[in-house]
Amino acid sequence: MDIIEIISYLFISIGCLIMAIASLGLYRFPDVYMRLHASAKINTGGAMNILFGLMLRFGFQLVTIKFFVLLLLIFILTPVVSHAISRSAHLQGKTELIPFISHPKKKFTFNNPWEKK
Amino acid sequence: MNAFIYILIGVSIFSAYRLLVGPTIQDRLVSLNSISVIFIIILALYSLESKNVFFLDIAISFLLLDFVGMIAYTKYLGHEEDK
Repeated sequence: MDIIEIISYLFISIGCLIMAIASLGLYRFPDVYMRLHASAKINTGGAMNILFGLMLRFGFQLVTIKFFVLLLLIFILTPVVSHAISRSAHLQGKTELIPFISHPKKKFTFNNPWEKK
Repeated sequence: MNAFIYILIGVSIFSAYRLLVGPTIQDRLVSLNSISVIFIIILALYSLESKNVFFLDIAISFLLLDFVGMIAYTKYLGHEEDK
């Protein structure tokens, strides 16, 4: 087994581990914005690690350029999608941006998140 | 490569929980976006497994279509509520 192949397996394993932990966060977090924080780890951290590991494996060919285009598109497009989802959640006003302050378009009030209802 | 594909299928099934029982519709969008990115990675791993280059082209075009669809959904949902 080559040394480069071992390094590529290491990158792919790190990417799979990041994806597993981030999907646990997607299951567990209580709010839309916190779930977006977990989802961005899947979109950029896991995916780019795995694609970089696959790029190392092939050397310099035509396939490497296709992997590089895929990595570059993921690097550009998925933060835009995360931003758009958070913007639509903020404009609809269903969930609060900060737990202390209510929606800024409404009247400015403080609410206590630890208050029992 | 086969073991990584099975791990990623398990991860995508586990993160589909938020697609089924998300309270708001943005939760479902977040889960759908991450599932589609995991599917793209599965396609890239499977192209190495089956030694077929065309799965990469399918992955790139799927990523672009997913981007356009997500932007359309958020543009549609992003209007303010009338009060």
